Amino acid sequence: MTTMKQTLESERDALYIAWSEDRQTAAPTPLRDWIARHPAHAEELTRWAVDAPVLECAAQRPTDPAAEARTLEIGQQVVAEMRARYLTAQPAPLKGLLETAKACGLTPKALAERLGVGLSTLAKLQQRHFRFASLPAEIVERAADALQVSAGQVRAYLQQPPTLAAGASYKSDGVPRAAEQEDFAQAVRASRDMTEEQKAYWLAQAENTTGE
Amino acid sequence: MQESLAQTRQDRPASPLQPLQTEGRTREPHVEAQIESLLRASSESFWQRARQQDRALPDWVQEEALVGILRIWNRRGDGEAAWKIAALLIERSARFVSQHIRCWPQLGPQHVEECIRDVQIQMLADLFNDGRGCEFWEVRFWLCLKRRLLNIVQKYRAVAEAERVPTPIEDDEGHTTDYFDRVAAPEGLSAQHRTEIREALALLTEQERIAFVLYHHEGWPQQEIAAHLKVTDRTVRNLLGRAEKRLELWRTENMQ
Repeated sequence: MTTMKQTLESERDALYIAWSEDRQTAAPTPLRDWIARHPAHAEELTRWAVDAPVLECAAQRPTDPAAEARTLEIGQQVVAEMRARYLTAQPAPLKGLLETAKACGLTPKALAERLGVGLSTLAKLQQRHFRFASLPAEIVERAADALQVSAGQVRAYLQQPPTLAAGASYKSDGVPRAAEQEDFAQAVRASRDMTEEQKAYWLAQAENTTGE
Repeated sequence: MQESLAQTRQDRPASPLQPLQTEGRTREPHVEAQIESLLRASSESFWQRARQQDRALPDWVQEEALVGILRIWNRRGDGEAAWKIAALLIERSARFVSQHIRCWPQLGPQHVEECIRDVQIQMLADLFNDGRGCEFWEVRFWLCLKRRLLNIVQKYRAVAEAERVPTPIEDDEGHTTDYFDRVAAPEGLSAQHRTEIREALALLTEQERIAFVLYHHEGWPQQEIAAHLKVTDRTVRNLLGRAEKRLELWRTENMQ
């Protein structure tokens, strides 16, 4: 929805709310006055006033359980269709935490500060070296806030298999493989670049992690 | 680093509720309080409260609060939970939507079903839209729904009117009997009959209803109605005459 259209919709809602609430008062403002105050909305105000008597008695009509059930049935179909479309049209997956941070103008250090972790922990998050189930929900939410993306996108990124560090060179006879994923709480305890306060905070959060 | 963690905490908003973008408009305080309290509740307790059937209960969850939570969960990426709330709001609004669409007798069964579907699609699209144009759903849920419903019903009524073969009614030119005074005057009718007359207004065509309501309910002179509708005074008289005949006919059939 464009900004102008949104503003117009918002104005219409505000006007309809004001007009409807005035109509419930003991001495409602005449339609003529409403139109004089809001000439750009004359047509809508007239239509609301003209339809109002019919709608007011609609609400007083006896309920029709069969009609209501059919309305609900149609609604459930609509929900199922829209939900399926919506959930498959989720935003593109994140390329990486650091890449997304860069796009937001955040350096790795600034992102680590926003998350309240050390740089080495951030690097492990980037490479998905933590078992996802051991991560506190709080760290996902902080990352989503800092990166201006949804928590779902961060979760989807962190749930993928671990990667190798970008740009690292390896001397090995075999194909290099990412290290085994580790437990977040254990990594926090062993961390050398987190303060005691940060450690205490994240260990308390990790304790509440259900592992779901 | 200690300072940075403290800073991080300060940077985080105290509440996930975003202020409304329209100046001078806020959610009702009790709605905000409900949102805050529900966000702290466990999932089980949340759904238990949200699915209560009795509106009179003190902890009944307002629809506006449900919209607020749906949007917060959706922003956090919990689409599944947000859609569960959407389904609940469809359930809660089924009676309202049904009553406010089926009160227009000129809509045939197929139009009614299509109209219901369009209203529900519009409602869901708005609920998942965080933009300024949809934020009033968190302020007055039922009025936002009613306005959208009116817009959609209006389109279907126009289609129904175009498809309808009009009931032939004698067109007495210059017919100016004050029908409303004679038939629908409050002192002359019981409350039930007044309601029935209002209900019968739905039988009129769009133009007839505009002329009738502006003349009899709003007290506009015929010249002003003519200027408003951009038609001649004579057309207004004809519209009023036809509306009155249609209502007279309805009265003969229904109020004996």
